[in-house]
Amino acid sequence: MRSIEFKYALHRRRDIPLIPVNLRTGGKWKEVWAYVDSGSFYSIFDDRVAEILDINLTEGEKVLAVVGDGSFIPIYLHKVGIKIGEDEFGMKIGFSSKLGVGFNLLGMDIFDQYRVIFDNRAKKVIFESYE
Amino acid sequence: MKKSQEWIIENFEFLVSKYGGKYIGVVDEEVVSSALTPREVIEIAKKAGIEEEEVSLLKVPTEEELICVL
Repeated sequence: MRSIEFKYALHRRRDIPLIPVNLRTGGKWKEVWAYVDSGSFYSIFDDRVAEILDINLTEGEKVLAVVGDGSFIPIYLHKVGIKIGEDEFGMKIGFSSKLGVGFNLLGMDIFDQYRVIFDNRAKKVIFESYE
Repeated sequence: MKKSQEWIIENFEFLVSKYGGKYIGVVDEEVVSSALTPREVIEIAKKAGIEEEEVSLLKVPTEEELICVL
């Protein structure tokens, strides 16, 4: 079993599970940071990230996601290549112009690939592969 | 971890105070570009002779956004 560890970022003494992932849709890899959010069903990046991946936003499957204030936002799902550490795989990521939070989000769908451990004492988030 | 990744983690609070609301591009231990969109960040970096794969792109939250998330 392999694992990848990422130290928490810190802001005003609060821990922030922020990690770098690489994304691509056939072109060059782009390293983009995302907040590991166990409260989000989908991984959602803002639509400006879709631009650099040469994704035509509205060609994706449109779904509605509930955000913190209870409202619904439209997201468009696209299959992208993703690399975490040295692991590469494909997954659907949602893109939205209405994300409205300060981070791109890595949601529960990534938990299908990894056992994700928020180790607050060690100040790190650990991605353990299931293999 | 790459040098840029460690640097972002270690300097996150500073980045929020200086670049909140923008995208930044980091290479090694330096912010090489900042703009409202990642496309602009990459374009600025490329004009400076930096390969786009080298650029680590961070959407930097504002202080207010961090309060909402946390």
